Amino acid sequence: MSFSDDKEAEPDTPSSQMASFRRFSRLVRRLTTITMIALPLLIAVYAFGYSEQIASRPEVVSLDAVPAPLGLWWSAAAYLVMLAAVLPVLYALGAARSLFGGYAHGRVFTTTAAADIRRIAIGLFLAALAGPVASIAMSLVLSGAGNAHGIAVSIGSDQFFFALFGLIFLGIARDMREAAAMAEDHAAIV
Amino acid sequence: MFAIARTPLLALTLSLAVTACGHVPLASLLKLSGVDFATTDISAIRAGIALPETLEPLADTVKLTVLAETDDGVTIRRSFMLEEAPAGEDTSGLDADENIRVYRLKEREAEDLAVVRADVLARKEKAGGGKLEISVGATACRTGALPDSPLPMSTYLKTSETGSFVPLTRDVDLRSLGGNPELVAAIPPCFAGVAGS
Repeated sequence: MSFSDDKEAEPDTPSSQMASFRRFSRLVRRLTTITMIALPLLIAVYAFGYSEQIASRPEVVSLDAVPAPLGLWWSAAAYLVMLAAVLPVLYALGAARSLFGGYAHGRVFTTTAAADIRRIAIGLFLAALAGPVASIAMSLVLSGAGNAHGIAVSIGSDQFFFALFGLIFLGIARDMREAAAMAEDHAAIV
Repeated sequence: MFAIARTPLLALTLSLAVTACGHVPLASLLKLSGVDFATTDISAIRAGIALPETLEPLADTVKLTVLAETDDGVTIRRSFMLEEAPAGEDTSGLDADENIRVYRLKEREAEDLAVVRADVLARKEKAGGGKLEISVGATACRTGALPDSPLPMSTYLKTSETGSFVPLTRDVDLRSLGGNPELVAAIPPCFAGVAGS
């Protein structure tokens, strides 16, 4: 077996690692931006274009709602409920965007980065808490539209995962804040 | 653009934060995270529903629905009827001032849930993972004219792991939550001759 045709590997120096990390951060920042824009639009398409599907959403599964299209106003109400439920996720994505924007500019161990991670944690916690309230709100919308008769409250594994990841990010934010403070102290001494 | 959008988004999120934090205690999620669907004692599951005096859940409409989706795309959805638990059961964790009804699985339904649980767990193991949603739903009716004041609803869960009732949602105002105050007017009367019907 010959390796003569192989390209010479790029030396794995700290500067090339940093450049690679910055490229990756820019990519993640772009992806979060796209998601932040796409998510409300996709929910709008779902709420207004496929409103009959809302009846089979997990949070209202116990209502046995009729899978019939909702009227314009009820679709708008359903859209607002779904949008409110994902607002914390959008908030967390906004924080992630800011975090990776900072990384892309080389700002890694900073108090701003720690604050961004903390905001991600808050967003995830709120996403966990929003679930049960959103299920009640959605059941009221479906009942108001005449597609269901009742009130449902739901809790699912998603809520626990959001809360768990919120807790993990909160821990990382605390450590990051300490690291950033140490880095700033170190820089001041140098 | 995002710097401009951040402020209203933050305001909206904070507003939801106040609503969500006010109505869903974070401590409850932490307590309920200790519930293991695989091993929980099905006969010990209880759901508590607190409604205003003028509202009550219609008998035989209260049910618990399990929706499991495995990673290989299999969806299992089953509903189990709940019945009102007999008086004298342990009600620790419930607010004594609220008009609360406690529900448990009917005996036959509990046996069925055990079978469904075994099926879900087997499929989940085969698929390598999945997610689970548990929902309690009921049709409410009104026993009198509804007041103009808020209509708070609270829900509680109790399992063999929690030991006592854990609030899932607390004092959610049905009048404001649906986005349409007239919505609650559509709640049907429990029997003919109810005021306001």
